[in-house]
Amino acid sequence: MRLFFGGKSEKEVLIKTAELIQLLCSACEIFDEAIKKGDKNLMSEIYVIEKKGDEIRREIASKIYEGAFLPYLRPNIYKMAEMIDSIIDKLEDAALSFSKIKREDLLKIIKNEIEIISELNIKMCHILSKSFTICFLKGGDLRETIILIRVLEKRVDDLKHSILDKIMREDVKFWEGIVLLKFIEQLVEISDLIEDVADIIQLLNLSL
Amino acid sequence: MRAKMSAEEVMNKRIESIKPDASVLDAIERITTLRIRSLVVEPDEDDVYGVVTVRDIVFKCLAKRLDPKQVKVKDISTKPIVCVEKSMPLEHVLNLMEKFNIARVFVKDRNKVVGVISLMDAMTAFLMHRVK
Repeated sequence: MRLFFGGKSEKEVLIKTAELIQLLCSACEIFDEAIKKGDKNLMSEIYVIEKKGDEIRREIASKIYEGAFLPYLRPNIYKMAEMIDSIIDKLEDAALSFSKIKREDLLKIIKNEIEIISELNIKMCHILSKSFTICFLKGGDLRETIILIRVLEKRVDDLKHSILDKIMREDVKFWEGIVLLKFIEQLVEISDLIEDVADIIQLLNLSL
Repeated sequence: MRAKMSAEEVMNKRIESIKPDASVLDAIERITTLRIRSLVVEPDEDDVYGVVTVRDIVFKCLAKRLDPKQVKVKDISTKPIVCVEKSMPLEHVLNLMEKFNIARVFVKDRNKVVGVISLMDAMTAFLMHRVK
């Protein structure tokens, strides 16, 4: 642990945040498995993880409220935890939308792209975890992990166009289209949010 | 350490393809919509995959003042594509790319193209390997 965080409360906050990132990794892995197996029941595990994520975020908030970290660091430390939790929320939304999709034939058309995005999300979560470790626990240069997150985010963004291009050729009813579009947007937004958290980590690294 | 990475680990599984009889304008439309640089040309009666790149479109069609609506993709595509087995080490793949001065190689599993490795993919893979 870096010298700046010698206090007990600070250590607890960092351990809880690392736990939150691990929860995010698990949620992404379950989501990936559910997508690949086409098992909508597996998504219920993500709802459990989302509740656990909320709990951890609240614990982090109370530790900060008790006085963990110097005042100038507190907003970004909490924002980081809040954003990681919001990614888990987004994954839950995507899981819910996925379970509402009735048109299996449409899913089949975009299956390859969805699987690639899901795999990229897992990779990005693990790189985020690595960034967090470098920033708060081990110390070191964050640049490579941040670049990698940006490169992978761009790949996800490009895939969105590919998915929309394929879907727009199909005959889709209004509500079917809405559900599918929501699912795609939620899935794609996960990588955006991971990139935002990486930016906050980089900002915090600069402030330390 | 880098030799341990295989083509399968590095490849991008996103393969966008186009029919050989499609027009160059169709290819331009797909390339710009999907924000990519090349399209795999599906096998014709000769059962061989091809590739059409932005470079092919510009030099073999547009720069020659040919009508992209009239020219077919198969007339400007490169055939056959350079393919490697998915188990091939990345080091060998890069040697191949350097030797033939090509920006991408395709990865096949038996006779099916299952991925593509561009220089950007190789760069990402090296970075990924470093941060592991």
